[in-house]
Amino acid sequence: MKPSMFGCRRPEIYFPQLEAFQHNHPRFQRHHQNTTTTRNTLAMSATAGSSASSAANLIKRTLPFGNGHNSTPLPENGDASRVLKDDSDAANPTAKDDSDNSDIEDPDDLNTKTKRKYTKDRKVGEGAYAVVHLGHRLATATEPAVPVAIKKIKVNTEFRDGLSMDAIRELKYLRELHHPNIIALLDVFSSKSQNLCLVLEFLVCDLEKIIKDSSLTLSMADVKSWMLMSLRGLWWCHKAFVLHRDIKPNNLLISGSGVLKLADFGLARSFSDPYRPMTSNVITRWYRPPELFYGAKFYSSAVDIFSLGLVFCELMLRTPFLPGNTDLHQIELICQALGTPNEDNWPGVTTLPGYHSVENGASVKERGRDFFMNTFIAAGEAGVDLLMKMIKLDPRKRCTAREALDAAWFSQEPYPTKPANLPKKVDGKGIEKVGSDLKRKAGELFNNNDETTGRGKKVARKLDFGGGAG
Amino acid sequence: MAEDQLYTSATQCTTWSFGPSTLSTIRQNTNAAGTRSIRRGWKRARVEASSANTPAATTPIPSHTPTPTPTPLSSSTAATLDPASIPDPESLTPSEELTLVHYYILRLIDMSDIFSFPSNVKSTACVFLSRFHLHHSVQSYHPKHLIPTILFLATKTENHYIPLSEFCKRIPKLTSEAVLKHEFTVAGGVRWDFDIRHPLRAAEGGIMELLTVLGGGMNGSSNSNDPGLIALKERLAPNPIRRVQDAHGKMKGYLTKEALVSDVYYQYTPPQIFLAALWLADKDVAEGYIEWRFGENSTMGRAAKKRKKDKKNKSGDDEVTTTADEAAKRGPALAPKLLVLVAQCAEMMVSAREYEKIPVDELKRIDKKLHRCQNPQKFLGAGLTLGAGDNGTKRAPDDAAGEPKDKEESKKKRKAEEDPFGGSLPGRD
Repeated sequence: MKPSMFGCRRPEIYFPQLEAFQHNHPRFQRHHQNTTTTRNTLAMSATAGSSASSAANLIKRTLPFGNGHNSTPLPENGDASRVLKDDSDAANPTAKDDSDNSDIEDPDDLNTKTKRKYTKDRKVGEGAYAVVHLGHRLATATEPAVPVAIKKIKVNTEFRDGLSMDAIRELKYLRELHHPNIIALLDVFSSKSQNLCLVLEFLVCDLEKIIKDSSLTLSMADVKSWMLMSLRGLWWCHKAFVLHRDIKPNNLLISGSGVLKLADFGLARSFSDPYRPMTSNVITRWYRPPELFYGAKFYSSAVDIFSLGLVFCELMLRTPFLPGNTDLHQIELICQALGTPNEDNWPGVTTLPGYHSVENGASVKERGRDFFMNTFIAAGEAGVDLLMKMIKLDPRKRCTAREALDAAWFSQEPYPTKPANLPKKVDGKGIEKVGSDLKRKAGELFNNNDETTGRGKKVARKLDFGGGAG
Repeated sequence: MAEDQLYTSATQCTTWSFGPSTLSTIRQNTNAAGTRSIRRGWKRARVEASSANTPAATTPIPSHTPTPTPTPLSSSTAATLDPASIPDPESLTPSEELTLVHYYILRLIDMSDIFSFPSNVKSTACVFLSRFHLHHSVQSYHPKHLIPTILFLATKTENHYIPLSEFCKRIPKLTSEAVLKHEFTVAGGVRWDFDIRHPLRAAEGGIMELLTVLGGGMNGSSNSNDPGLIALKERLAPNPIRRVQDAHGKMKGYLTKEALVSDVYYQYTPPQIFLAALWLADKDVAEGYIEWRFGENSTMGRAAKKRKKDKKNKSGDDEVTTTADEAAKRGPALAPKLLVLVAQCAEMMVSAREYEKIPVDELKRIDKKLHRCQNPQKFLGAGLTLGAGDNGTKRAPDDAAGEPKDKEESKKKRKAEEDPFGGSLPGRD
């Protein structure tokens, strides 16, 4: 929450101008063509929180954000529903009298209007939690058809109390977060059987798929580009006081034009409410930071940074850096790889509720530069510097997303690859993969049908809804 | 990027911020739409009533309405009079609707207090109700049916979920079906915008900041020669800390009541509302705080320094800081401007108290009117109950069975039957 106390009473209309500014301002335009140059440009783009793919802008512009959010610009003195009503009245002169379907103030009707804008083409994934369809927004007189992903959240599968918490969290945050590196929620509607449908930006692939594809060669410039885009998205989340809490390669989706976007906000929550504890049962195990294993109830954006740091490692190693089999095993791996937390390298760690000390012999000193230089030599000195800052044991010593964006690494050669030139999956399987990513229950690493590989059990523990801590 | 882009891109700012004139236009339109839907309902009910009267009772009934099951009583009584002769009910005015909405916001606050929910849940629920009825007429959806749903939805959106079965236990006669029935209506009615920006976080941050500097906290030494701060301390002498603590409590009271019953959420930003509440709680604290942070003496250097600290603390007060930053850019004239705004906002909040004083008789009168609007079947002998979000759900025309809600309601109902229009139905009941 960062509103201004500035400028008097709010103007009646804010935002058409703002949108126009973002789309048309020369600075942003120029930036599209030149994503990778000087450090200043990069920093600026990060701060500008705009730019990136013009495709994204196209989608944003042509695909209104539902319910008059930005499709129907607010009229001078009235609101979107007013416009809708006038339209329907004009189109249907009898509406005013008794035609029942002209009841514009009925939300079901607004809902129907939204629903009619889209059509489902084919199913690309189904899980216990959601069904994902590939679809498109129907072409109108002025706008071409645009592909979308329609995620239908099944209601009442396990959760009998109406809209599920995952769906509510995802909706709540995606409605607010608009950034080129965050998946765009284009519309929301409910289906006849009271299932919630989220219309999401259509994305073709995810980072996990790319990491696993041994036919692709990933250069350091590519890694840099993906890290840069992830950090930009994360920076915007954190700036809006939202923790993602489930950063991992298969939640980093890739658009057709190569732009990376954070997805799956089913575990997200706002943070920095003083005195309000948060649950530590979040983030998929392999990417979970040590403070959460120790049961920290008050944590910060540093948890996401740690997860992203491990994604960084994975991009270079092409295999998960710390693939623990159990929570205990995971802490063991963290201690071995990064060092054993103690009062010296992490003041206060022993006071965390879940902290357990290790026998002296087993203790590992916090790894220094040499260790990382040996393991991640490809990143170069500046890259290793950034990595070390992201996966510090002590969350207070980790860098913020903003500081990471300022890292020297991004302004050094090799410059980050332009999104359009990044390695891509060429076969058609990416779409199915994205479908299954979107339908996954938040916090799960793999889908049920992946259990054959023996990895299905390594999922984040379920959220504890009991204490209001979620 | 503009410093406040985060707020200006929030749905609260883009879709839920209005000036006073727009706000009243929207309310008028909503009221008009509600009135139209009441007219339609009555028209349908008339058709049904007259078809039930004529021997040719097989005349097609509007397809979507379930076959009416008039009780023998109502059909026989209705047979004795011509439904066409009964005039349409008088509909509610926009201000009557608003009165009712605000009354139910107060009830919502009471209901939240039964559970002792935290302020953010309470506030979110109230804003949901207000926003819902901004676009949906009370005549179409009676708030009394919606408030449990709204409160339950707010617990979920504010991450304070409690199981529905427990939720229902605490409120007499509430069933989980009744809560869930309206969930999609409400969620869609607030346009799926679940994130409400409350002044609460700004308030906690501001108070923390005041207590820190007045207590000579961590950066006490660097502040000691800040003339603005010295002035603030003098103004709050002899015990500045105590003053702020007292103001804190009172301010919370304003934020969790007056701010919710008025229109300030539509017209002011969260920090403005916070300052207005602080101003009402203790004028000196608020004015001193504003003078210190945005007055002539506020220095640019401080803002920058403060910002770095904020990054580490993540305390909620950095919206204040960034504004200070902007103030530095735009010159020092902010404080007087801000004070005027804060006073206006405070005035609006105080005016909300009127809603608590509305006499019960007035509320009863409005509810009676609404009851007649929504229950054409009762006055015509056929048709369905309108509104209350019951569209499509059949309700027995015998309304006594339809509304077992609570005693007060049935009392109201009995009274409604005594009203001039109801009384004109010979032989009724």
